[in-house]
Amino acid sequence: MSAAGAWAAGLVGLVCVLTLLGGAYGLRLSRTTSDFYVAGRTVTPWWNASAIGGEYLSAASFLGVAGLVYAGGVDMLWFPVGYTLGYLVLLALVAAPLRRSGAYTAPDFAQARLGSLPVRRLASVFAVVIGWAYLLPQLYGAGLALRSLTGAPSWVGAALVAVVVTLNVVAGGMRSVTLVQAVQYWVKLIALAVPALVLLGVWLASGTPTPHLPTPADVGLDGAGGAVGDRAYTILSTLLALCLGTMGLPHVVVRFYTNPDGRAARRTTVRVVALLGLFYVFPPLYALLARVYVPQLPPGVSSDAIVLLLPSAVVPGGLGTALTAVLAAGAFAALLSTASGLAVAVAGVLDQDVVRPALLAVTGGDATGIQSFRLAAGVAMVVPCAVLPLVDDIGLATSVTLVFAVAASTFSPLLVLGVWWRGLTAPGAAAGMVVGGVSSLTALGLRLTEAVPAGEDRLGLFVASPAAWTVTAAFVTAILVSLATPERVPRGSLAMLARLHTPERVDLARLRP
Amino acid sequence: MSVPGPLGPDASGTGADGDVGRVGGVTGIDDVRGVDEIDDIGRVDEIDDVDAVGGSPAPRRVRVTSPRHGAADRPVARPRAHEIDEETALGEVYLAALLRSQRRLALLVLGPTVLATLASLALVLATTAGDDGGVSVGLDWVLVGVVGYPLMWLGAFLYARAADRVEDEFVELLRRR
Repeated sequence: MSAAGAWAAGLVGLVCVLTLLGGAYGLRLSRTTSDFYVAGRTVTPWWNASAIGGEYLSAASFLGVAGLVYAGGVDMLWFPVGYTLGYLVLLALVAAPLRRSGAYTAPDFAQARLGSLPVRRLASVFAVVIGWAYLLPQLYGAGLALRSLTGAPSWVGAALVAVVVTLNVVAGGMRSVTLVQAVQYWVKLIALAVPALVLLGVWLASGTPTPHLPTPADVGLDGAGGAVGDRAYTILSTLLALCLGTMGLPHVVVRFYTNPDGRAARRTTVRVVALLGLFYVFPPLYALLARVYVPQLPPGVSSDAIVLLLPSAVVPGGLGTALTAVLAAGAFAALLSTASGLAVAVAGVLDQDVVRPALLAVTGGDATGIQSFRLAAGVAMVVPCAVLPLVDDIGLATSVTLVFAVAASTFSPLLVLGVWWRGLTAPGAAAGMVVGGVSSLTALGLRLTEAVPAGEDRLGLFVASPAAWTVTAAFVTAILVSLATPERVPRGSLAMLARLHTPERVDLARLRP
Repeated sequence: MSVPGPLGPDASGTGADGDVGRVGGVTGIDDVRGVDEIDDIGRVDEIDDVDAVGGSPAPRRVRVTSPRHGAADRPVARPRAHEIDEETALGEVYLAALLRSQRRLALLVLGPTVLATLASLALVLATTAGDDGGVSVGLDWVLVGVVGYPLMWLGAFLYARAADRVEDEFVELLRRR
């Protein structure tokens, strides 16, 4: 292990220990589920927005975006734009109504809005699948980061993250501790911004050498060829996935519950847009500087590692080593916070809909809520770990975007139509979710296993960027089936919509028991 | 809210609902005092009474009321919110109006966002389409990588402010006759 590796390993270890301490602190801070709700009432929009940013900015943002821009050039700048735009769309379409629905997860929303248990179950299945699929790139990123720093095999990093996250969730229980997540955002921002500014200074001092950019014709998005039409399709499909997928991610929905009311949910979202924009200015900077100092990737190294390679290439020696260590620690903070948020969300859904009923049946009502939640947390992490070896190396941001496509194809019809259209029925919502979910998951599977290589032909293009057709199909199905089943419009749907759209101050007596 | 001590159950006030008129018992209380003040002073008053009659307290009715500034428009506000509660035709009109203005607002922020995105995408594609040599870092990078974010924030900020205002107007509508 090199000196840089030792440094980085030390800082990464420190981040892991601090995360565990944060979980333990959370355990002492709040012992019951209701503490979480009470805490929610006292959390200001800035804390909440930082917490959302802390949970949302994953390894894909910290490492993956720079890697994409490095490899693919200007077309890839649309990824961070889409990640941020997702919150603008979420704000305009669902933020306040989602909070007012009182739903803790998307399945809760389905049940509250449509009053249908089967739709709730279906939504739970998709929430768990999306959570697992989103955990995969986090584990993969952990392996990648640790390997490029210390030369350890990939599974070591993945196992480390899996163990820390499981311990953290089991110790911290149901609550994602807002304070810890909020601090994580600022840790990540500083860990990314400070080295960027130092490297930028070195670049300016050395007479601003020009970066050698790849041409879009060389790479294309996903290697999908350079034709303008294909590029436009890929970018638009990607943007659609990111814009509508954000609202469907299980760990994002949960965070909105911490807002005291609908108006605070909107204020929080405005601040999230600001915090994300601030963060996303930096990854392209790494990509451009890497185009100056690392014109060719060393053989066998993924472009996702470019952020970690850059400092030593710019300033060899002690400073470069220290900067690399800071970046590695930031990347691990990103991994751990996103993975913890996902694990809590997945474990929550599993616990409520699967583990607790099963456990109660087996033990004859002898299991406590905490036991079943811990069991669910274990299951939530074991499954993605088991699937990880089957997945090919396709790049962090690419795989994360595919998961966004699944979330957009399943939950955005449910949420958007549920909030704005009185005529949505349970069969309509279910049909939309099934059509969107099955089609987008098929694309995800084909892409992750490289069964359909991207960029060969039109099929490869549609499989690599499925959102444009899967989201459309999901919305059209949901609307058509709802129109065909008018007798299934839930009773009291006017009152429900009223509750979603009227401020909490209005005394709708029967609706707010 | 109840008054403790030997004065018994009759002493409990009906402050919470406040629809009952004020009946004596609590002397020297100004009409505009808050509920807490009345509680405190009321208690002191009654202890004095107990001393005066020498340990055999006459159960006097003490009705503690809360002076409510908004009490006048209260009966007007309830029925209008009830129109929505009870899904009447009028309630539907109210809700449709709110939904319409919120929907218009959402389109007002999302429409320009989509247009601006498409325009800058077209611009970037047009400037890079024919390149086959080294591409320089130019306007397209700044446009997509930097300028977009403050614009997105501005859109979010203006939307949230306007949505607050629409909701305020709706609350006013329900309150007004």
